[in-house]
Amino acid sequence: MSLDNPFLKEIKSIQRLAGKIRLSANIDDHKSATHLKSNKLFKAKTPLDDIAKELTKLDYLKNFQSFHIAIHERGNLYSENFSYSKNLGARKSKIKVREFNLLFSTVSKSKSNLFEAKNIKTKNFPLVGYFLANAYKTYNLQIIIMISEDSFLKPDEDSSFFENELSEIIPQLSQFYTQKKQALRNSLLEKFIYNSPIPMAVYNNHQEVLFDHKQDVSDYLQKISFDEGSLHLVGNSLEDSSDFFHEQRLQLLGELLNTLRHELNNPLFGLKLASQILHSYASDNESTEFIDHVATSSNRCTNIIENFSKFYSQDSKFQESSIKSLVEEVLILTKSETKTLKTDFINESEIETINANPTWIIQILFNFLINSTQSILNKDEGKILISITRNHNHIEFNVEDNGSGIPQELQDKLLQPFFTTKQEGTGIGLSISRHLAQKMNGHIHFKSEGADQGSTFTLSLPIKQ
Amino acid sequence: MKILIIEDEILIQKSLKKLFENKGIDTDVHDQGEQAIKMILENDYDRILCDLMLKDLNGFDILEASKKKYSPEEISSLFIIMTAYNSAQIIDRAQKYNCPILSKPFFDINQTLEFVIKTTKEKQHG
Repeated sequence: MSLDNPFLKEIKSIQRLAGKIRLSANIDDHKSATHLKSNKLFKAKTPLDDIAKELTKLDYLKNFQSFHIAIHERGNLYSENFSYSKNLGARKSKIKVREFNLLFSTVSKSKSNLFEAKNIKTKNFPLVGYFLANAYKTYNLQIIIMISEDSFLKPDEDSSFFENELSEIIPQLSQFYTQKKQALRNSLLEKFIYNSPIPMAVYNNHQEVLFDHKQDVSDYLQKISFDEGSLHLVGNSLEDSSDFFHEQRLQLLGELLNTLRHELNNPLFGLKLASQILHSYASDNESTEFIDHVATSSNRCTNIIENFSKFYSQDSKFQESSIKSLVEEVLILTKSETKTLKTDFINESEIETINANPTWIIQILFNFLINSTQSILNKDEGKILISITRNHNHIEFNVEDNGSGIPQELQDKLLQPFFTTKQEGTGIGLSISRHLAQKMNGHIHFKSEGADQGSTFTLSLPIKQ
Repeated sequence: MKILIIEDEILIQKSLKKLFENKGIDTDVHDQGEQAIKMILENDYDRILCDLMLKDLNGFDILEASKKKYSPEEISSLFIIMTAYNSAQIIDRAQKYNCPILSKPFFDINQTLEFVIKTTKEKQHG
């Protein structure tokens, strides 16, 4: 399994996110901070942004005009600052942790609680004249409370409330802030999981679902458990999930090709018509030849686009198709890759048609053929044989080459998604093929005697569906 | 016989004009819907070949605007719809006008020309 697996990357980024937002043990009560008692200052329904405004309710602070609470949560790069001014209303800002620490130590080291705004470098707080401040520390937070009369006259209030009344509400302020932040983080995580391209569900330690992906994609659902502040992937359904992505990608590719086909058809048709007319006007052999090349090239473009959009069509209908024309179509699709090789087709099965999805068969055989052509290094002696055989009640499409074969040690990994030995390969071709074969109640298998021994890939489908 | 071709793909437009003129048919062309509507209202064409996706309007807008001059029956025998978009919705909508629909690229250009000329002549001769 390659380390470039986008799915693993995705899981890692989720784990990083989970780590960052520190899914803490109280994830269970993420909905709201309900157990704050109602007689307390900060009610569960109080918005976090009003945290500074709540201080205006305290009788002993009634003469003050502006209130600032700066909170730094351990581990964060910024502090959050909530301001409330009786004139200007509420506002929020943030400062870098270094600046916060400087302010915190200035405030906590000072013997008095009185400061002058001009002596403190706090661009982020709308402080004028004198202000009173105190710093507090709780289990996970550092809090600075600053209050001001917005006056240039020195306030003569007794600031003992910092140590008495105000310090008593610090625990509930701390709890209120922590729970509000937790609720916010959890709702972000919920949103993230809901919108994540990977369908997943997060469980707590009691195996209860905390969040899950709302789409009905239960086959591909990644179970993630929450444990000690991190997310874990439960079980290993990587292959299923990569199938899920393959389908999404294929669908996208199909849509893209369809749009391309429509957009290119018109100008290509114009080229075709114009060259037809010019051909009838051309007076010498050289011009005729040139014009014919234009016609041939534009026809080829039309065919390529037509074939490719058929190839990725999402139509999952089964239909009776001629085996011979399916193989011929694949040979046309791979013409540029196989032109220097010797290719043969032989139907030994005595069966002429098959009821399956023709697009998928073509897609699988196309994959086999491309792999074969890439495994043949000496193009002059390269041979590919496509044979159709019967094996009990199955029909088998075999693509046999005399290429570089598959070393024994790689054979187990070959059908895994994202496994590739090619420099520019994605490693999804064979795993898509396997998936498509399964959708037609068939399977794919291969045999190779080892390196340089060539290989045979087989698509096996039931004769009667 | 006089026909109008409304088509904004310049090579298709010029080529079709040339091909019809080679067959001795008086052919007007335009690449814009608004202007084409004006031409339809001012002239009496025997056939109108109309592309569906134009830069300013779509072919259905032109068909609708032509109702000022023509009855639905006349529209169904006057217009031929051309389209490179063969989605079910578009075909469905085009069929409501009961006009012939030509998918681009035409499978066989000569056959298409013959079809247009033949059906137009039949119409003229009642």
